[in-house]
Amino acid sequence: MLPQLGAPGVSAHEVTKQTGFSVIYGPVRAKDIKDFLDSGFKVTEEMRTVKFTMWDRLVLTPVELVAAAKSSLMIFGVLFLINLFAARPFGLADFIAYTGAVVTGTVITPLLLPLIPGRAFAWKGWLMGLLWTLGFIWLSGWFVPGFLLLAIGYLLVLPSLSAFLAMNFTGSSTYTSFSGVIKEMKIAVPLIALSSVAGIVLLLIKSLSA
Amino acid sequence: MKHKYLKNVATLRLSAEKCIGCGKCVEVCPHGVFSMNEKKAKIEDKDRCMECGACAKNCLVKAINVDAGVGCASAVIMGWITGSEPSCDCSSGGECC
Repeated sequence: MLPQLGAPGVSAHEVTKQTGFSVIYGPVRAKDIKDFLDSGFKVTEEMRTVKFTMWDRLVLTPVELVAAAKSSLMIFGVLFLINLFAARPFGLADFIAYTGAVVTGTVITPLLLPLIPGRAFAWKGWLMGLLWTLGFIWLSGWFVPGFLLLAIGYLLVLPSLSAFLAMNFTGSSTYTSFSGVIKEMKIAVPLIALSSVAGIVLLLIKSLSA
Repeated sequence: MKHKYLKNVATLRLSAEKCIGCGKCVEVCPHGVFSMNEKKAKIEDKDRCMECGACAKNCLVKAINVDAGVGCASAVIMGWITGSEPSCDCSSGGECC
């Protein structure tokens, strides 16, 4: 008796051919094993189907969040060096804007996944990142001529960052396919790269020339 | 709420001529892609397929074809960087996905 999710790596008829054992695939979740045994190896469609509830998604979010936090330390290091020469040093507001975009991509987007319009993960992350960035810029009062370079820079960088992090959640999801992820990435990765580079250039211009 | 990924990308193909109607694909599919119809398997909704390859691997008569792989962006990026097949294998010491 094998768990059903072992099937992508087990060929039942091949096992029988080589060992004489016959393979019975049980339910997806271990908690259904008792019902499965009691019912004489009957599996309902519900037991056969993989789900992806909000709770399932929540417990997976630390994977990407912790990885992003580690990479962020390097970015903070670079920003510290830039600050030594900057006319407008990066400060708390920038930290909040950045952290918000990371949390949007790694936690908020996965949590709200099926509620966000669209199908591609990068798109969903970008959309949520855009909402966050627009909201933050508006609250910070950066939609004024003096801060326009900064506002546009962040609108190019932060939603792209959220998009990239949300795209990585495809690895945690239970329903994304290889072909689908490749298709999504062929479109998303160049756009994310272009947008980020353009945004970083604007942010540096603003920071160094103020 | 039902999760839906990109439309018309799954590479899943089923040959009705080869199918002997054993129902193994219906049994192993974690997303209910297949159904049985007049003693033959039928693809109910190809867009639900996550290309795990369980159906093809467990099909006695090789009636099912799918380019199975991991639907994981990190794995694909690592594959692009290292020039290897994208995989979720964490044992190689690289970044785990």
